[in-house]
Amino acid sequence: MRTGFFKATLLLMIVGWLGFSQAYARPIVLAQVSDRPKKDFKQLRPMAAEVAKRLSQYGITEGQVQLYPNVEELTLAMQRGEVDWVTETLYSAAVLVAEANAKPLVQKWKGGDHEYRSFLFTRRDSALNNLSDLVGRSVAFEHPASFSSYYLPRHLFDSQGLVTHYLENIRAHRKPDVVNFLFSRNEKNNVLWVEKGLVDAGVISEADWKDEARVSAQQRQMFKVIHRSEFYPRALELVSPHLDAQVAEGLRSVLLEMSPVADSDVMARYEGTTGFSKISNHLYRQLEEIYQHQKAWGVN
Amino acid sequence: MGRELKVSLATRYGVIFALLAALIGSAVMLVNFYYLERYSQESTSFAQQQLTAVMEKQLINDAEIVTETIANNIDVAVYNLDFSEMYRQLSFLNEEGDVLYAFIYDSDYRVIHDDTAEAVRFGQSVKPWLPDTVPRDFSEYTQKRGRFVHVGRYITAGGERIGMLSVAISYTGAEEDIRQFTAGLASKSLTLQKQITTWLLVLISVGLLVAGIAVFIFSRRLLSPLRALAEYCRRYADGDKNMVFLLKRDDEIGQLAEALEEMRTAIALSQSKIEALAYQDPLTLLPNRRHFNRAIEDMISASRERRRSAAVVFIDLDRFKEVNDTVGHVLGDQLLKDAAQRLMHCLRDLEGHYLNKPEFYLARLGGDEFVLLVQNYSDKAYLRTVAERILATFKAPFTMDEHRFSLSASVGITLYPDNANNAIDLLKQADIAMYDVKSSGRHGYRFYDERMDVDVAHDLMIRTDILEALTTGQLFLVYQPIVNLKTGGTEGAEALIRWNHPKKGLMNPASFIPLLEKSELIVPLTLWVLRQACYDLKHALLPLKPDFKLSVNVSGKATEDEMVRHEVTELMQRYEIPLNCLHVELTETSLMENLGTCTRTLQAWNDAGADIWVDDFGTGYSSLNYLHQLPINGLKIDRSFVEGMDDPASLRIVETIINLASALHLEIVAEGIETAEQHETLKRLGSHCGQGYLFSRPIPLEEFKARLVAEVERANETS
Repeated sequence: MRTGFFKATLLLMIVGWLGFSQAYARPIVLAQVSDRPKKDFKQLRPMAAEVAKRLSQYGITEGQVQLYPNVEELTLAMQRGEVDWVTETLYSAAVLVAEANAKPLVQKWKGGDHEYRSFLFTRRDSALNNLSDLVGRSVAFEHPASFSSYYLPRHLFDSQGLVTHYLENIRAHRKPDVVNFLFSRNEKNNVLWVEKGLVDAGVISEADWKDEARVSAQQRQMFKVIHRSEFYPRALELVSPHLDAQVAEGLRSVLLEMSPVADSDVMARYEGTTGFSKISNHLYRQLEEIYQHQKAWGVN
Repeated sequence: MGRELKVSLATRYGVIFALLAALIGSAVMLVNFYYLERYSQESTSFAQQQLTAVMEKQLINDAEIVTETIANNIDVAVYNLDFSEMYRQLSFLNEEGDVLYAFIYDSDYRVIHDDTAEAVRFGQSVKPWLPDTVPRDFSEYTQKRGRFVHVGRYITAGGERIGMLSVAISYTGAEEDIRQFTAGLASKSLTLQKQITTWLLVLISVGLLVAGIAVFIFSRRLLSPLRALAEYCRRYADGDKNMVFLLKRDDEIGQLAEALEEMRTAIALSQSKIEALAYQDPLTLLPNRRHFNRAIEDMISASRERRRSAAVVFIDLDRFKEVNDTVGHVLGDQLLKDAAQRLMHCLRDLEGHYLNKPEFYLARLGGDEFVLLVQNYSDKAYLRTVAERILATFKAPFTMDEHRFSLSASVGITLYPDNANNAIDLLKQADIAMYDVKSSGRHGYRFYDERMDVDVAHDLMIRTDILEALTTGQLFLVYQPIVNLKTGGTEGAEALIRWNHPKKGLMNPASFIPLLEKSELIVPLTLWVLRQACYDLKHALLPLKPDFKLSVNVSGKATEDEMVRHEVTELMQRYEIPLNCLHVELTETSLMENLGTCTRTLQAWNDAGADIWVDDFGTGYSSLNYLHQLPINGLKIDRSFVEGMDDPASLRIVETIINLASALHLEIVAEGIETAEQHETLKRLGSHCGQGYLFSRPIPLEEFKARLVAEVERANETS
């Protein structure tokens, strides 16, 4: 009996090992929403390859990169199990977590910041000093996919109980009792519109605000920030629920262990990453909120 | 051997042709170069213009298309005031070329975008930034201004013109392209031009060389017969008289050869004529002196072998000069021709009379001198016969043009080899012998004698020493009184010259005057006598006797001289000699011999107040007509008549002369009175005056003066 059990156990082990081996002798797939596939592929590929190398003990043979035109497509791909690992902004991450059961793994630092926030600014010579002053006025966001310059400010107005109204274009008529918002397409237009008085206020991320190439010192001189949002993680690394937990854990370890000194090259090429850190406690709440608001606003 | 040509015609033609060809070649080159250059410039400039025009059109077209395209693409961005998109679209413009400006503005001309990253002029008026020519009524335009194309195009959204895109695009780049293109074109054209020029140069040079060589060879060939002719000429000049110039050619050179041949023949002909002239006397056609000398030399060289003797006979016609002076040279020459004829006849007769056949060779030396070489004669007696026959041949008078002349000859003979053995000496000796005959009265012959040399030497001495005598006071005058035959008183005197020769002692005029008369030396002597005589007359004689008459002898020969003629007049005036006090005496002979020149001179003297006397009257043959015609005042009866008055014939002559003088109103002086009988006779015959040793020999001046003073004193005492 003992011999038989032993033999059975051994057999099971062998089969299990074989099964395991068979199940994980495959590549790890890194994915992202991208409207510039070429550029993004180049940015993601080295990290995918490096990580795959470090995860070889888990049967990872290579690192692959998959890019999707929008978050819906990415969500579907994750649901089907075609994607193992995603690096995204909070905005997409909220959708993936809510709809594909994705698991946030670590926070990704960019430009030395692991978190960021948005600034709402007006011309210094204007009489606008707080959010409610913007009722009957216009505010420019960047574009509907922007977390910092759409989700955050609109959420802000919502949370303040201010009704927002979407303007088709800059020439559209401003409604008197609401905060009129419109999209400037990019931060450059956003700043210029405010500067030239085409809109009453604009919103850009703190990082852009501080970037001389985007907001010149002269312009900053012309503006005043009338509201700063709370901090949000800059980006997240998420894994598919279909990914083996051990591999997922291994991936988390590999990323957290990456040093900005030793691995500076591969990290820098990875969208200017400066480090990884553990996720914050209230991340899930934030992601849930983002998802809920998005649902409520509909697709804009 | 011909002299080397310095520059042959062939070379010269070659060089001339080469120069000509080089000139034409250079002209062709210049013209070619000029037109190539012009063509190149014009084609380049044309290409540049065309290119510029095309490029400009293209550029304008491009500018319009670019502007329109961007205006079309930028509509949404403008509508949305999407500055960054507008900026991105406008940046495409800059890729197209140099953009001076790009503005997007609305119908109010408010700037929407100014092509700066931050659209800094947004909202400002665009007008200050646009050229004045750009329409201000918000209409589209295309304008070329300077180096820029200005284009304005609507930006339309939803069928509405929401803005205008105005840009200015420079075509500096295009211009630079054109410049580079035309520069390339010009450089290519220059290269082609250089190639053409080089090839032309090579072609012309080769052509020049070939043509030059061809001309040189052709000229050489053409000129070779000329060189042959030149060579013939040189050989002819070197003495090849058999040279014939004929070349047997039908061309111009053949003609030249013929002409040269004709010239050669003519030269040969005239040479023989010249030779004849050189050895022939053209007047008588007798051999001349040169020919005669050669004949003597031939004779001498011949006789040296055969030891033969010969004689040279010198024949001179006497008084031939008178003929010339009287009837002129034409008749004189005729007479010489006749004389030559007579001599020839005479010699032919002589040849025919003797068996041993003497040989005669007659020549004329010049003037009236003939010379005869006699060879192959028997003896000296024969030569005498020859001389006599020659003298005889001139006996008959020569008749020419109604003139008759009786001529004689003087003949001198010398013998070879007895007296001399060369032509010069023989001729000289024959001349001396002839001269000896002349000196002793002409008409005769003499054989040369060594003693004759002495006489000749004497003559030579006289001629040489007289000049010294004139200046050193060796000459002086003596005076022989002329006496009034009735009263015995001294009327005047005849001045006679004496020469106190340092070696020969005192010399009479007869020993030197005739000699001097043959030369020009008679002139200074005559002048000296006249001056001395007049001086003495004025200062010594007239003071003693105011009507003193002094006679001075003047040679007829001297009257030819201008100075002598003037001197008498001059002296008469200078010394204020009274009328009829100076008597100029000329011998009858010299008067007649120099009749032609005398008349004028005598008239002049007579006019000046001097009397003219004929000396030695009766010894010559003067025509009575002349006595009448000439201004003669008196005659002097020659001493020979006075001496011979014992003879009734002579007495009659004296009587006749005295009567003649009386009839012609001429005065008479008888010369050579030595006896009282003669004195008495002459006085009886009516001769007024006389002179001679009976009264006084010629005495020096001082003695004469003393005699005159004594006579004057005696007369005073008597009265």
